[in-house]
Amino acid sequence: MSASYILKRVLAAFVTLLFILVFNFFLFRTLGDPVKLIARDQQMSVDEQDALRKQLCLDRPPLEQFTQCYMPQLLHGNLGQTASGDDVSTLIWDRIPKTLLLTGTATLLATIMGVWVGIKAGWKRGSRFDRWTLMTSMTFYSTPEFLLGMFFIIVFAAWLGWFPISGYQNVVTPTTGFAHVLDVLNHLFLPCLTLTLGYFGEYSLVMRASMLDVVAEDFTTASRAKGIRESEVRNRHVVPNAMLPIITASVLYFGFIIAGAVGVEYVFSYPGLGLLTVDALDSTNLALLEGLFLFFSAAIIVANLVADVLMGYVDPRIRYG
Amino acid sequence: MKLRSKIQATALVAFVIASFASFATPSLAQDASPSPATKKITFVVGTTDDITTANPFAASTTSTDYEMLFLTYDMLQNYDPATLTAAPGVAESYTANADGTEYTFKIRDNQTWSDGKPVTAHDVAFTYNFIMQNEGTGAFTTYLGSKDAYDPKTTFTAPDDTTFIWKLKSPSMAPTAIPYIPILPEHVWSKFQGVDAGALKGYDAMPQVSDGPFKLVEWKRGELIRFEARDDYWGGTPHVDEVVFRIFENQEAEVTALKAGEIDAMNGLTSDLFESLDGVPGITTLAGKTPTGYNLALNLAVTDHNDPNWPGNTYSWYTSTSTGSPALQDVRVRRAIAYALDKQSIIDNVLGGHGTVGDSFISPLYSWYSPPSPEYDYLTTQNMEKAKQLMDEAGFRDSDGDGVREEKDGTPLTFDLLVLANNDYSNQSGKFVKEWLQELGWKVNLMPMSGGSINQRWYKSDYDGYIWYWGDEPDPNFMLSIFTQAECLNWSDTCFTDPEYERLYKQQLAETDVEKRHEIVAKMQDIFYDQAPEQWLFFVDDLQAVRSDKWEGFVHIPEPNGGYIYSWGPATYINVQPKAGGGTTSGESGGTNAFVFIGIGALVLVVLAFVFRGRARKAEDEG
Amino acid sequence: MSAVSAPTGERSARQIAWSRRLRAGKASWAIYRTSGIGLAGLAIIVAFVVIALLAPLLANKSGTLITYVAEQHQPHNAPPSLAYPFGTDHFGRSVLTQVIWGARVSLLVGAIATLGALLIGSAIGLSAGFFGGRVDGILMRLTDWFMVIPWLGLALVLAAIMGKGLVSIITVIVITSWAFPARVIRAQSWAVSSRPFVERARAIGSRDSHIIATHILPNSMPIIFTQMVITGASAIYTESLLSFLGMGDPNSVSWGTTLEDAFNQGALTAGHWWQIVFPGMCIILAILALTMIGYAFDQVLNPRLRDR
Repeated sequence: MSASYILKRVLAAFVTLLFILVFNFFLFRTLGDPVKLIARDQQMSVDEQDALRKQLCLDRPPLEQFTQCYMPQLLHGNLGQTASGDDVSTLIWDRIPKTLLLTGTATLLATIMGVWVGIKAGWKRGSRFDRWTLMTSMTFYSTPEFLLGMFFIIVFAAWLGWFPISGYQNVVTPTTGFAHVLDVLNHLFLPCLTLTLGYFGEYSLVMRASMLDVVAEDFTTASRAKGIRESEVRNRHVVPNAMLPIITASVLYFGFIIAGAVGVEYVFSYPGLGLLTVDALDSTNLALLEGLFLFFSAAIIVANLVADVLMGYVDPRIRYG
Repeated sequence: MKLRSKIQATALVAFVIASFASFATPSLAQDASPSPATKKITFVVGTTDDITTANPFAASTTSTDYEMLFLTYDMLQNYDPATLTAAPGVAESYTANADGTEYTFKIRDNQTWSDGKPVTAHDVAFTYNFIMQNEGTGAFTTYLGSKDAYDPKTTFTAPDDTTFIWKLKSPSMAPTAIPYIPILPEHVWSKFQGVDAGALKGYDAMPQVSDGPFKLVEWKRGELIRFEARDDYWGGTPHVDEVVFRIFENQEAEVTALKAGEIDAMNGLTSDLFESLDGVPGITTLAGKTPTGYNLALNLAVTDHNDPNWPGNTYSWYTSTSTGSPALQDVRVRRAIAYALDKQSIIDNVLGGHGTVGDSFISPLYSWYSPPSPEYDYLTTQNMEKAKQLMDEAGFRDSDGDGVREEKDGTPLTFDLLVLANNDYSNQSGKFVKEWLQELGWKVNLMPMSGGSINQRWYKSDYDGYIWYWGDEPDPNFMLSIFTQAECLNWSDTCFTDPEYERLYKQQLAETDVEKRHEIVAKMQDIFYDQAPEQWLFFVDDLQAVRSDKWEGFVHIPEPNGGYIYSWGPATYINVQPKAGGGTTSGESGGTNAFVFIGIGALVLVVLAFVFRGRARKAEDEG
Repeated sequence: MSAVSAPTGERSARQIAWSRRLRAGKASWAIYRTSGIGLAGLAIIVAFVVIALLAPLLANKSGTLITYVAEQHQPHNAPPSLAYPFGTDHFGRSVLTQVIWGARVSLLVGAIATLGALLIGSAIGLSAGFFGGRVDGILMRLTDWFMVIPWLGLALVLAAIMGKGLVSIITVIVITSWAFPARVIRAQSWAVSSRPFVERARAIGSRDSHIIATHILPNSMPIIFTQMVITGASAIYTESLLSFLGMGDPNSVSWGTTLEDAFNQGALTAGHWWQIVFPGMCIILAILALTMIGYAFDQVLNPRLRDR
């Protein structure tokens, strides 16, 4: 894999990011005059409105707005402010760790589980294991995460009372140290379980299909003919090749990973980015929605880039090609 | 291979040991909690409404905003918790001159701010002047006697530390009413002179300097709000050390927390959840009568915004022409709409029966309420035939048989009905109203949205109707004002105007004889009944639940059956104390933390079992 | 180019082509039929469609009106019983009625959105694969960009701008779903376009649009069909999530809005599980059915995936 490969990918990512920025910019400007929104909230006089307009660069033509105000602000990490004066970037930044904890753990577990199940199912196609896990994977894949979360709440939280129904931690009497870790884990268990199972179906199905594809390739037969042990064939030859689509699939699935997280955070009232997004919609907080939209887009672009580079390392065709 | 399986075996053993160890730790965690002697007495309230800001000028949106102000600030006169009439606040007493143009308030000399400085008449004068002179104080200006009081002849002065004088241009009863204005410390706010108060940022520094029974010391947005009791409050030291508002995303979580003892009180329950708490040991439920009423507002703003007489022209942020259906200008149509509504059915189905049918905009809890005469039966009973008759009379018929009536020029009658998406009462009432209006022959577009969005459309006069609510105050002046022309695009739901009503409004404002004033207010309500600019759907009961097994000293505001919290004052917070043997728990809902480890331990064991089985099978494969 | 009129006894080129496709279709169906999964999925979807179409016969539409239900004094929050097999909701409406009528909206939104997405996706994919070169580069760049847009974020924004309702939901689904199928279709289109007979058609001088319509498109139909099914599954998922979060149409009933109502009324803690489980099962079954159909069809196209 050459430096030019990486460079091309990075460049492509930048161009995509630019497209998103332009898209975002125009999307939100079509909503009407933001000054009026703020003005009636704070009962401004005409002079004050003009001053605000100037401050927000709204008195200039769109192109100038984009280059002189919007972009420089973004480069400084300033995503603007909400109508009530909060800084959007801070709001988003504060929530990232919690969502990362929940979604990151779930994705990791789901990937490991899904890949493992997929390998086994694809290798022993037609076996009982394969048939059971196929249906299970498909069912979990078809179950929206927020629904699964609600089912779990009904059974484990509301009926059996084993886990708390919502939240991130016991807010009133905060705990510290190890007790705090326990507390968070306790609250994290159900939402994480929900997301893990919800995501797992995709990985398992993709891995299985990929295994079947590779198994049918000539070189597998060749390896077997050479007398290499089954397990070796599987682990050294088939699996590494079958893993490649997982990387691409993960990235394509990213939009659904985000959506799943939003649904689950909403159902469990887990105070992460997902819940922030729903709150922003509820209060029609346009500045915040704009910031979140940018953030999610950027995340997907970065994920794509990482996947491309990873593929560059892993896929022998690119690596040596 | 042997080495590998040894390592795996060790790992398995380690996992098992770790799991058992973690079973033991929950008990350790509990022991680590502080001993009772140093524990604070905390009263925890659950709510789904966060405060908007700590800035009093902008804290006028959510119910918790108002509750926060009651907890932290005194007003010139406070509400007597039992009767909601005027009681001493920052002012101990007042006298008025003969013609009601000058009121002298005696300011108490034993009140301090939470930072230790004394509260004086200068703070009062400063506050009132600040409100009149600065931008962004619209939340409070109306209490200073409506826009007519914006006269240079109205002055607020403090000749010495304990005397505050309010002089008015003409006779007015305004100073006798409890002005819902928190008194602010001059030494903190004077630096904001000349600034748009509503837009102040950075006024979130904790703790806040205030003069009420509590002070605001912590605000974690979306999570909690913490108030500390003050031991130097003139009205008595609260029995609790602190009051914490814990913010929930939804009511189920709140109810679970209440049952588990994590919170001590909550309000605003849906009727379903309220019923489910009935009879639960340790919990007392209360359907508190409130003066909060939900109304169906109709857009009566004129469609020609270039009309120079229209108040909208004085507001610079107004931009568009009203989109209110012209049919609404006809009083017969408005009465038809009223006839189409079955308010009792809404109460039964949406409020679970916990409410009172609304006719006047003034709550029947207050003496100012004057019931309608029987000819205005559309206010309280449904009569779909009469409703349809009136619509026909007014000339709106369904000529093409599609179920929707048309205007004279053939445009179908459409009704954009805005409701608050997150407010059950508004949202669900809207569903009923929509179906009835559809039966009446309107094409209804039900639009649930946030309060902010409704506000936007309201300022553009872009709606036909919306369902919102008002919390009536004990003095009727404010509610009366919202039907005046001056309040169009400020507080008026409808932009309704009536010359006789305007005249009566000014009259009651200046009337210092209480009985005469009652008569005037009654006449104004008659005009409201007759013209039906909007329909008051119902007055709600606030469904509350408290942990009566742990706490005592709850106060009805007002007596005899008003709510304990989220009413008109901090009396419950001041008075409440733990029952012997009670106090707060740090108990966590959802069992102990042990289940996490059962769960994780089980998963780990399952995974390891699979791995080992797989290895065993593989051994069979090979060979 | 019109069909060459055939001399008696022989069939026209077009007829030959169509009979070949028919045979291929029958062969595909024979393979599809062997998949238990595929048949099950088909059966479920057909059942849902039939229920949706027959809704007026199956359940009284007034049963979705809360004023009607209030007048009838139907019990609120009643658990499943003979009278109300799926129980009733907070207003007293039969959940079964809600589910039957909700099927219409959920399936319709899914269908329309999928159609829109596939129309755009096919147009772009087929063109990109056929024309190649510059056109392909530009179109694929466009596709890349649209694949990156986070659909949930966009949905929220559109709901804020366009207002809540079916139009904004369908718009979101179309905008964010056309890109992936476009890629897949492009691959197929490119493969077909490089076949000799397409070269020949070009050499003869057939119009591009004609070639695409009569050669590329029919040969890509299987792929397009699979993509439709897959996109349909995600469209139903998306509609249910968006409606659940509050962006659905307040003026109509769908599975997602039924769940939203139940959740907001505290069905979880109050123990009214039937208000969540039954609409939820419908959503799962519908998505699952489409997924199964897609899986079985994958087997038809890709022999490697077939059971031996």
